[in-house]
Amino acid sequence: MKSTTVTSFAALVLGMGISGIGIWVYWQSFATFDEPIAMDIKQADMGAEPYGVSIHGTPTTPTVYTDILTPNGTLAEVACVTCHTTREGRLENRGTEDLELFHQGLQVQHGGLSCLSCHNSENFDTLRLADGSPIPFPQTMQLCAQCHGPQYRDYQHGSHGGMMGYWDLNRGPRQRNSCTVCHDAHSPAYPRLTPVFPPHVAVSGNSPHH
Amino acid sequence: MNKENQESGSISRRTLIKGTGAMLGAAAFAKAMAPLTEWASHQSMDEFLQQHYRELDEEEMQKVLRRLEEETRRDYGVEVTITDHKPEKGVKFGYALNLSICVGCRKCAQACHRENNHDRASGNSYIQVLEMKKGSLDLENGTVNYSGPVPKKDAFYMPVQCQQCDAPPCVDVCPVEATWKEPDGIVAVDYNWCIGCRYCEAACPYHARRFNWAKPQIPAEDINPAQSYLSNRLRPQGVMEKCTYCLHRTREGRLPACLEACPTGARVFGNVLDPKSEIRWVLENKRVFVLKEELGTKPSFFYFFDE
Ligand code: HEC
Ligand code: HEC
Ligand code: HEC
Ligand code: HEC
Repeated sequence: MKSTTVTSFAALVLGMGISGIGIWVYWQSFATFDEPIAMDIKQADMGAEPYGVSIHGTPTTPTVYTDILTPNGTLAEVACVTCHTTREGRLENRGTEDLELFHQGLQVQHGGLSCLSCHNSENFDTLRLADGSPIPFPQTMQLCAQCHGPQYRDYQHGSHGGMMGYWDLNRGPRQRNSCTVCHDAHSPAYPRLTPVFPPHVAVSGNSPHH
Repeated sequence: MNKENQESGSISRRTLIKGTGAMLGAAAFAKAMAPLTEWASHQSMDEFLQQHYRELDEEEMQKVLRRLEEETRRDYGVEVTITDHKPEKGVKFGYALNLSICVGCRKCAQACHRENNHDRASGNSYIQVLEMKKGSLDLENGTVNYSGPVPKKDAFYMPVQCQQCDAPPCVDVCPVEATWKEPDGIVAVDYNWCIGCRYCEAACPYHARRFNWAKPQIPAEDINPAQSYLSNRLRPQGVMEKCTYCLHRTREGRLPACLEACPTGARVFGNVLDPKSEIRWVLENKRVFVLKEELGTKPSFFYFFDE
């Protein structure tokens, strides 16, 4: 469930003739930096310790919102395959400027990769690894891992990606972030931040750095 | 520092104060004594007679903790729990920071401020984040007064806090043994024994020690009630304080507050005696370095860059 991370609904009026569905609202997902931990929890078995490590913020299978209200007042969602079963995959689609018919405004800045180096044109409700094998969205980290080995290795050893909870798994559990909590899959560069907590005029005279 | 005092085992506070005075100039003496003379007026007899932390037995310690809780209730209007967290056998803490990842957002410094019940007006924190020019590792050329957005192109960011040295110069200069090295590596301070002479502050090459100029002022609802005798309990005026790797958390097996607050994941903490720990992996697989290695302080805080 990614809804807690939705920071903007880029409304997209579609002239596409998909009968019976009117205006589509495009759901843009952004990583949040204030609350890195939320959402679904997946237990990863780490070894003999009584407590485990869980990974948070794992992507779920995405959907696209329509402008149709459901009886309980939420917008109806449709699966990616709704449209994509009737479309051939387009390998040449790589970036924002290639998208004319749909998904306009999607910011993609990721090493000039083709959309289909990650998405699976056989089944758009899944992703695909370099060897062509499909993986479900919740296993996105495996996708990242195949091209970013050093970061993935560091991640597995706790020196990339951060953690919360217990250093000692004998006494409590630990939580970690999925890669996509900090890196938007499409524009993965870590954003620049505004520093908090500016230093006070050195009341105490403790600081040699003025 | 006075060798005899160190070896005499049970040292009385009064003789030590005399001893200290003898070694200081008159002005320095007056300064060093200021907090003490102030204490005299509002200090309870119990407090004055409280023995040095390491000489208290379990029962006496419990009495002290209850008294301190009671004083906090009286002075700040909050219920707090003060525990005496003990070091664990087989644990030696190590901390490492990835300078390729840190972006200088200062959330660690802010988290420290709140976690450790620092005086709000002072904006105090045990962590200073330095903006450094790429290519230089000279601490004294860093600046703490930078603003966003970060990271800047030709800069990197270096948070500095107590390095929990294995050969701590601050401990060596303390005239009353109010600061010492614990078996798990933490350099601790007994706030009720410290005389506020600030020798340790001057001796620390990392500018990691802070002096409490005033009794901390914190709104009751902002006080972190989970406290420890040697770490984040509300400190009296006129004593030294410093980072303890959040021993009130880490001795319970939890991660330090600054690590959890880091949005970039730049910090790695753990038990260096555990060969399977993350910190050990970093020490063995990254090219780590320590600050001012030439001084021989043997920090247990490490820095590294990704290749
Ligand atoms: C309303 C119909 C519709 C839905 C629903 C839809 N898409 Fe698309 N998608 C399109 C169209 C049309 C294009 C072609 C865009 C272009 O070439 O201008 C496209 C292109 C793509 C591409 C680029 C590769 C290609 O084959 O063109 C990817 C990847 C993609 N969609 C993924 C998804 C995912 C993931 C979802 C679910 C979150 C989704 N789509 C939902 C209509 C849709
Ligand atoms: C590096 C791999 C990668 C590339 C390249 C990539 N995607 Fe994605 N895409 C993902 C992942 C992973 C998700 C799920 C992200 C999440 O939920 O955080 C996703 C989600 C989506 C979604 C649904 C959710 C959303 O963020 O809107 C759409 C639509 C989509 N991609 C379209 C595209 C299109 C079109 C392109 C090419 C212009 C593209 N993708 C390129 C990996 C990729
Ligand atoms: C098919 C290979 C491939 C996959 C899969 C892939 N990446 Fe990348 N990634 C690249 C390339 C190529 C670059 C650009 C490297 C460069 O410019 O030097 C890159 C760059 C990056 C960067 C640096 C961006 C910047 O601008 O500094 C990050 C962060 C990143 N990827 C994260 C991810 C994450 C997270 C995933 C999984 C959702 C992922 N990548 C999946 C190939 C991939
Ligand atoms: C807690 C946040 C966080 C998580 C989770 C995270 N990263 Fe990163 N990552 C960062 C930061 C911060 C940087 C450095 C950004 C900078 O240089 O400004 C970075 C850098 C990168 C880079 C670029 C390295 C370079 O040299 O430019 C890649 C690639 C990358 N991460 C991949 C991953 C992968 C793969 C995962 C999941 C296994 C992951 N990250 C998880 C925060 C994170």
